[in-house]
Amino acid sequence: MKTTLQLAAPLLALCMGIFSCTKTDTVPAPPEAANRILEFRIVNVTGDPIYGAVNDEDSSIQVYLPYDKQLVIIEPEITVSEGATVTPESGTMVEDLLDYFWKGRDLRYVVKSKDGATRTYTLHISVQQPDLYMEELSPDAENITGYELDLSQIYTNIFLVARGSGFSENHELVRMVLVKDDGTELPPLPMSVTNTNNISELTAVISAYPGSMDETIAALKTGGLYRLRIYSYSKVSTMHHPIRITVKN
Amino acid sequence: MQRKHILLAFAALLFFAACKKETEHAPYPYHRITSFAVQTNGADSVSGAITADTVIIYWPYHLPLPEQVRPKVTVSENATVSPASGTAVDFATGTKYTVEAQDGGLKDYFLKVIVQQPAIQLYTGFGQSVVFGSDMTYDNSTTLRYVIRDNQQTHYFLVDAENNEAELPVTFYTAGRDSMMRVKVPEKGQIAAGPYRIKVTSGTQSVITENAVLGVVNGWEDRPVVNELSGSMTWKRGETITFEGTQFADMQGARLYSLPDWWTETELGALELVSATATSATYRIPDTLPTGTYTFNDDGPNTMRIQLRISDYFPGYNPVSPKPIYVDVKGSDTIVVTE
Repeated sequence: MKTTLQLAAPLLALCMGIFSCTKTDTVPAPPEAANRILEFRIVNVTGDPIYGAVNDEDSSIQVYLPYDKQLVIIEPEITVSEGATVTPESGTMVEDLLDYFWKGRDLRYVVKSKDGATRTYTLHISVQQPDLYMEELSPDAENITGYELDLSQIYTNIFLVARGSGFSENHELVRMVLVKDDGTELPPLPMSVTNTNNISELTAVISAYPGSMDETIAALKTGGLYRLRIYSYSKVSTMHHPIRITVKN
Repeated sequence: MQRKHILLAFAALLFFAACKKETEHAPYPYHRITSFAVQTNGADSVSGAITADTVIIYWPYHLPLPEQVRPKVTVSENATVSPASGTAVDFATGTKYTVEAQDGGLKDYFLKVIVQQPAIQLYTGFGQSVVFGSDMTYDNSTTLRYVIRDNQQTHYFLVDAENNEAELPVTFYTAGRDSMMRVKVPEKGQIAAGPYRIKVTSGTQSVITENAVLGVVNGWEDRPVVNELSGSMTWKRGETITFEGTQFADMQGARLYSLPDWWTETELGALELVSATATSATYRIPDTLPTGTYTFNDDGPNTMRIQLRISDYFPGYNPVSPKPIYVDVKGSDTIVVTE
């Protein structure tokens, strides 16, 4: 009897075990999300496309543009999960990158899986260019450099020469603006251009003659202090110390 | 009795183990790298772009390229990655990562490092010439942009018509605010005088001019000097005339011209070179040269001036728009041209 029990118990347990095992349905691994961006590549470049880093955890796409391609429009080709759609669709240009860099703009892609689930990715674009560095025009906050435009002259002008580093040689990517104390910007200043534009020096020219209707001159007539700001492709820098520009009638 | 308990416990264990399996998921088959980030500068980082089996890292050229990095790597749920996130790895194309899914499936990824260095911008203008042994300078803000200011990484070559390259030593320095690069032109004898294309390599970038834009030339002090003429000379058409002097080399033909109205050069004829030594050059007097008496080296009607064409490779040479270079024959007298 003892022997029988000793044998029967584990056998019974074993049978129960096997029996219960055969009854078990294995839960399959959950499928991966079907509303994903699998690949994001910029194709309006010669040679290899520029691939964006797609991050599913924070639903972002980070694109690093090379400095020298000077792209102001990009054409992304987007691959999404099977059966999913993306809006804006693959091949839709992202235009006016200077506006994106200088003013900021939301760039979003909505991916919809075939069962209707949506996920919104945010596109971030940066350019791998060095930071802008500018020497101050005024030595310090107490010693403010002054410039004068004498409108009684036949022709009068001032040159604002910014020295530093990191300026783009392509002046189509560059703006020099004067910023008022309240943070508002005057219209972009005309810049002098040569065929060997200097990447460590930029010169803005403000010129006037009697009766000139220039918007900048009109704004400068209100007097006050201005800080020089430079936009160069994806970067922006503003001088810490202001300068004084006086318009004499 | 004790044995029975052990067996029963074992059986129960089997039973419960078996039952427990009912609530478990099948092992996950996913083995993707879901994010990959490398620290660049302080708190900043670059994210890797993952495509097929490649993790592309676009590295900003203005930051030094580290030899090793400790990437932060995340992978599919329940998968593991080797080397683990945060482990130091070689920051080079080809570095391998293996992701193992929970079900044991393996997937290899390889790093690809792309340094986004701008193309070198070399401004050569409209061509120029430099004398043996002299220095050339480039401004790294204007005429030669986007080179790495390090003579271990930036190299300057002159390339001749047969694609032979001669490397010239470079020095980076600053002059006031300006970032400059000096190139030492070889002494005479080390390379030939003549036209060259310019090639510059820097880091991963390289540029070569399409055409010859730089002439390496002899100093003007090395030019042939012709002895002054004296007395009246008689030239017979079809015969030869010899000029003597010093430093004659690579002599070409000669030209005869006049300045009849004091400002417009009028060609009288060309002298074909017959023979030359280091101290003399002999030319044939053309049959077409009008006979008569010419006042030598004077202006006005019936005057004649002589220039001997020398090698092109003297200051003033421009490989983009080469022009003949001459030395004047001096002296003052008359030349009578006869049949």
